Amino acid sequence: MTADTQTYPVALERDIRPLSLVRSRLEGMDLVIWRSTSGAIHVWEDCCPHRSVRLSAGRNLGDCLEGIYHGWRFDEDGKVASVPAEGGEARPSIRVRVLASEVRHGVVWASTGKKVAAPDGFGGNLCRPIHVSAPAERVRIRFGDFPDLQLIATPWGHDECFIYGASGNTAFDARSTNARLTDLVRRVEAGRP
Amino acid sequence: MIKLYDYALSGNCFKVHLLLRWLGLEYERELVDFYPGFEHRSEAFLRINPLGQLPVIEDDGEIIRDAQAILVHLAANYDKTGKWYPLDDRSLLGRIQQWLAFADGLTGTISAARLHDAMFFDLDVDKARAGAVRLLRVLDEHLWFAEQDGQDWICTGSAPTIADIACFPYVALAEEGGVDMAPYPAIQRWVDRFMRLDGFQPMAGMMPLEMPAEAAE
Repeated sequence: MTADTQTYPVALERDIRPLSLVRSRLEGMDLVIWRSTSGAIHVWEDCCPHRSVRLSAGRNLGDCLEGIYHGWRFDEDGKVASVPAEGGEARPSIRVRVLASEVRHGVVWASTGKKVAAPDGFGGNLCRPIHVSAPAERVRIRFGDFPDLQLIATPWGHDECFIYGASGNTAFDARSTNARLTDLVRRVEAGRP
Repeated sequence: MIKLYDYALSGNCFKVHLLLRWLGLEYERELVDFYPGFEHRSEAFLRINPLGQLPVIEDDGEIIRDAQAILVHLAANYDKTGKWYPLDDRSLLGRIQQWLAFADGLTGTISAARLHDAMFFDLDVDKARAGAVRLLRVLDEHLWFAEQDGQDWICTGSAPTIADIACFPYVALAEEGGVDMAPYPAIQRWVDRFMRLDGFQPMAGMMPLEMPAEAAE
């Protein structure tokens, strides 16, 4: 199964731990993904609206994300809740770029478009996501080798992608599946059949 | 008193600083001007360590070179808790050694790329970065599966060992060598956990922010 839509996996839900920040990428855009104390998961462009420093270099304080450079704090909705240099006042007109996202089947899905629409048929046991230094198209043409898995290649950039996979098979073994997918990555990167 | 031959920007020296502090040991620093002085190649220093590398320690008249060997020496001789290098757990010692050797590979790849980018060393930086990617993928995979098993550290157990100390600095400094760390989120989570350890202090180039403690899961 491949995804023809703009919606792609950007992380596994279980990997978005409280009080941490996870980096990802989608179609050339750097992303920061974090879980706030409300439990909600947020997918933002990894770029501070102030001086374009990576938000992922800051810290997750639970109810807000704090930038590393000047300590600007962004609330769950991506608005500036506090600017320390200006007496801690909010600047609600300044916002990060929030991506449309949802959590479904244990996966965090996002879209660079207006809407996110996770496919229905993806779920069950989840594979370890794997980075590939090759374009998504070159990876997708090999997916037929894995009829037991649902696989999606999220395009990170022109020359890199991330493989996400799932299996409804009760006999699923995460490590051996990971080994098979790692083999695929090696072959694709070496340009071998 | 233990004497440490030291350079402030060396990740390998930083490993020794970390463990010395965690063991509560007093020590004196003998500063060696690695860059731009190249003092580690001087005749005087080569008499101390013929390999011309830092760190070196002198403990009770004995000279020990190599960051990983120094970690073993300090943990085995001074760690009253026995958790940094559990001598009584023979099943763990081979595993720890495996990752100490791996840490040496990180020096040869990530650190090399960093020396090229930050200190203008003349070396094959593309080869160094490719080597770094190979190792970081192995570490990221290892840590991801460890997390699935409820483990927080490189080797099985509830506390970090010298394997974690050995692998930490160059991973944390990788971006100074132009190595993109975005593909390795499991490594980043391990870095976060390591930096939250009581008594951790960063060196130059590492994120200085004090992270809030992760809630118990």
